[in-house]
Amino acid sequence: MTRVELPVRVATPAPPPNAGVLAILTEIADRLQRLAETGERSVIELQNIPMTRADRAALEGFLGPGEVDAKLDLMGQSTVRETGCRGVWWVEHRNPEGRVVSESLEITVVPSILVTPAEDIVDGAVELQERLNQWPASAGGEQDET
Amino acid sequence: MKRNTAAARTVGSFLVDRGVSRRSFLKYCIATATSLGLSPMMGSVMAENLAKAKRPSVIYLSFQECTGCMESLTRAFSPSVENLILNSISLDYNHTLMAPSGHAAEAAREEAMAENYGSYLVIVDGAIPTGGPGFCTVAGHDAQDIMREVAAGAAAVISIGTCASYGGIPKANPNPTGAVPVSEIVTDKPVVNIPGCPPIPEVMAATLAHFLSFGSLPELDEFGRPMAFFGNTIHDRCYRRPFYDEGKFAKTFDDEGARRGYCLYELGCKGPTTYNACATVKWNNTTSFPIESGHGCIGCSEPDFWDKGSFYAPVSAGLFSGKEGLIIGTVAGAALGAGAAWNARRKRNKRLAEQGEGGTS
Repeated sequence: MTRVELPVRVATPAPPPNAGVLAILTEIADRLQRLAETGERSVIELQNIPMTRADRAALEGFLGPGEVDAKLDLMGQSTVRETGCRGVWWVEHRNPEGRVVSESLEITVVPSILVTPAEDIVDGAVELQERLNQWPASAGGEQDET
Repeated sequence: MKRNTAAARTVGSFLVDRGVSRRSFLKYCIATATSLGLSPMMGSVMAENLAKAKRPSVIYLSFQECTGCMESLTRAFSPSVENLILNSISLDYNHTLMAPSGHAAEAAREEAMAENYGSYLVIVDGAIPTGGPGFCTVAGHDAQDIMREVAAGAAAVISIGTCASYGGIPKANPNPTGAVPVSEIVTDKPVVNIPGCPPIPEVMAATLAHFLSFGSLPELDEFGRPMAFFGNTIHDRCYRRPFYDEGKFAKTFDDEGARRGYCLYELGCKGPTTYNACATVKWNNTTSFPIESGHGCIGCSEPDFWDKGSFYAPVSAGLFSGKEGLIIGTVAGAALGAGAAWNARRKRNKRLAEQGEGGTS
């Protein structure tokens, strides 16, 4: 096995961030510390922070890619990505026309939008039971031969 | 009896019945909280409260108006959550949209008021004439009397459009009917102004969502407008702003500069002195906004916009009182716009400071 084939990602050093990005990163570090110690989750809204495209790229580059990249179809696409700094999630919501309506960093165990709402679990349990109750009739006694 | 059942239903159940998933609803609330300048964390709180909120009884009054505001609020394109929020209200009286007319319509209003006294919302479009009885009547009653009677039992009043917010075109010089804004008639209830000719439906939906979620109106500016949407000028958020900063201006509507998308300041754009969210929220399903379509902003969400000179004359510092304005008014080009924008902001800040000292916010 060559070095290239090894399942190891070699981190490329990110360029040093400017003062504005450094301030955000310092804030993230503080909040991540609090999450670790007290479980307190928090959100940093990015849309209201004046950043240039380069600043945003620097922030994203510094945090790096993580293990989770989820796409949600919620009347417009949403993406939820865990960054390389575990516990820091980059969450973006778009409207049906594709415009970004919210972009934030969530410092949390799992972003709230990914969690199944309790009412949906109840509804899901009821629906599954109903389908199970109907199953013998709809299946017509046929057996899966595979 | 049927309406009671409908009114008792919650906003959440209304949306679920229309196929909005709970996650989609949460997403809308996160985006709304963000647009209102709240922490995205408040999105979860908003979703929880809004889902449980009873569909509000709304009495919609129309006075001196053209119905453009209602067109803006009801001519929705996609089945977005914003539109569904607007549809989730229990619209108990609106003489343009409701099926009953005459005594039956007025009886519906009185019944809704009696059933929900103290908790219903009043939405008003149009200015209210005070110059004499008979300028604007509904079912034989004068507009002023109707406004006072209906506002008495309201939780809050939402003035939709520039006419209800500031008097608008009916109040334009020489104001033959003595038109006044709603806030001059209703002085003892919370009044929020959502100006614009017409107003932006998303701003209305967000204001409604805030009221239903937290039981209060969002933070307002000195003109009673939601600060989150009216905190910046069109100029501040305009995509043509870089051209302005470079001193590149279109000289006519069809010259090379216009085709290149240069700043429309010299063609009369009122973006530097107009506070609204058109440049960010946009119009017609986020297709564009007036400047993006090649025409300058006409400042329709500002008080007395109709009487502030030609829509095609550059914003000049001469429009504003004060020594600085007169000096800057003698300078041409970009400096003019900078002076006007600076003056407008200075006056606004001064007003805000004075309000702060006066103990109001």
